[in-house]
Amino acid sequence: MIEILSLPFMQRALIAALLSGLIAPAIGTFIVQRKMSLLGDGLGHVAIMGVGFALMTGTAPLPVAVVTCVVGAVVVELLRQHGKASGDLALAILFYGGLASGVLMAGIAGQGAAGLSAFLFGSLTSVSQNEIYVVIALAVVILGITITLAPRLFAVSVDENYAQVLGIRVKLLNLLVVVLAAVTVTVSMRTVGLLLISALMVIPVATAQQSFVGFTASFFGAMGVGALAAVGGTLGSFYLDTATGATIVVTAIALLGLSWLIGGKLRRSDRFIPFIEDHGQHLHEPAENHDDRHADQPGVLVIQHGDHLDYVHDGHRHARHGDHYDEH
Amino acid sequence: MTAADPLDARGLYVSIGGMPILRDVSIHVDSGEAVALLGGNGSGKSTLVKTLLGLLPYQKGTVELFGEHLPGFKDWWRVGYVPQHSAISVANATVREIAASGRLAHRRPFQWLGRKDKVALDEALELVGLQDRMKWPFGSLSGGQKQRALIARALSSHPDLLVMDEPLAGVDLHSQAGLAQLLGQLRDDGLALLVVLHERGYMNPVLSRSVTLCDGRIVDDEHPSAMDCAPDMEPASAFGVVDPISGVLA
Repeated sequence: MIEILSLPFMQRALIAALLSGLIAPAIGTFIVQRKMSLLGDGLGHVAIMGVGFALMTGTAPLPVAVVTCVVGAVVVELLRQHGKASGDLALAILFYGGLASGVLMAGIAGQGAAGLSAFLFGSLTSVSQNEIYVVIALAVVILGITITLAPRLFAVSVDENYAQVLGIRVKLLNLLVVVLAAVTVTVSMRTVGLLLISALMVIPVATAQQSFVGFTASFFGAMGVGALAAVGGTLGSFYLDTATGATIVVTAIALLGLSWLIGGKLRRSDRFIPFIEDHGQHLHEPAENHDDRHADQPGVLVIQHGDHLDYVHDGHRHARHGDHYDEH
Repeated sequence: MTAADPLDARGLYVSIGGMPILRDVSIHVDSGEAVALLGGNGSGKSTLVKTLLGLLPYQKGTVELFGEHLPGFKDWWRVGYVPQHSAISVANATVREIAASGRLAHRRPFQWLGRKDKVALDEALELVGLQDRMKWPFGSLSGGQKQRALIARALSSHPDLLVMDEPLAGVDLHSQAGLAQLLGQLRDDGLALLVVLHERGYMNPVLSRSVTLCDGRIVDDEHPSAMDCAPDMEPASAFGVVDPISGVLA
């Protein structure tokens, strides 16, 4: 374990993966809330065009990909804001045009699909010394903006009309979210890869929403889950000699599965009891000598009925009223 | 605080995609007044509310909020907007987090919730009777409770005018009475209300007067009891009468 950390390429890969694991779910939280979960995937396709262009011209891939992807993201968002992206057709053309032209340009550069593979699925050894500084700088900026603007971004993602009536600049913030998503996608291309980064924007968010109650808890929880998956997957890919991005995403899905198994206990959903108003008008059937051992057992559905609790069993609601039981 | 009326719109014309929706609509709300905006489906109620809030552009006319023209209006905290609760779908944000958005009208970008914000937020949640549901996920509330949470969100900015879009829609009858009582209390506290309604129903004792929209025009500003327009404007009436039980055209 210690000797892995002394390897320079491994240090760079771990730092880059950790930062991706933090920023992807942070920005992903707002994208998921806006029901645009697949935006990251589309932006990844656009970034491939930037990588292809960089390979063809022999320039550094990261800056070219960042610029290409940000431009693509702005175009997508402006089309959406002006209601022209109907039927997702424009998006599909942009995204697959990006993928196709990227592969085409990489081919002209003599690299072909194989040369692109490290960018598509992530690779441990590919983060260069110069790149890691760019990655750190961009990640810190994204993290800073996302966390400090979180209340506003949350308000916009929940209810755009209301946010606008508050005087919030909704269109500007929506544009900011897609630009930040575009930068996140490209910053993560060396570790998670352009075809898989969208998973890291969505899966930790779903995991956190399973496990935590409340937006703030889920927001920071998602970042924690993302960081855990990213670091765990990077270490795993060293031992298993697998593509880093694929290992990170499989780890993230394993954590999601775990949250399904134990998330119910973490959330303590029994705290949130459905409420039925007691109009005092329905028939109560007094049920004497009724067995109430089922009450308070785990798995019994509890409903707050006016001022008291009912326990559901055998298809009816059952409540203790002083010295007797009622069936509602 | 100036004595200007919370809302004064005159001669509004609104078209959406070239289709005229509102024609020569004037509406005003005095301070402390509760005004209902009535009308059938497709009468233009929602379009009018969105126009008054600056969410839709208008082609002709003027809108003044607290004496300032809409395009330059800045004091948005004075306007509390309460949309229909069904318009909000959140994964697992809590009631308090949803309501906290209302305080953003007073906070600069990059500024987090301060002590003053927290006091205002707790007061608003207590006023609507949700103080013991603050930490619950919004999605687990009943329709009436969701509506109360959205009212708390609007109240937390300490507005002078509350604009509500069908606050009783999707709320069971018992809770409708409770909501109407709450709105009456807010009106008595000096808040001006503009409430979009399908029918006066439980809101009747709260309302000072009502305005009825019919096919994009105001038809009745004087006689609050006249409601003859709304049934005539049901879309099906152009083709015949739909039997309410079988759903078949008669």
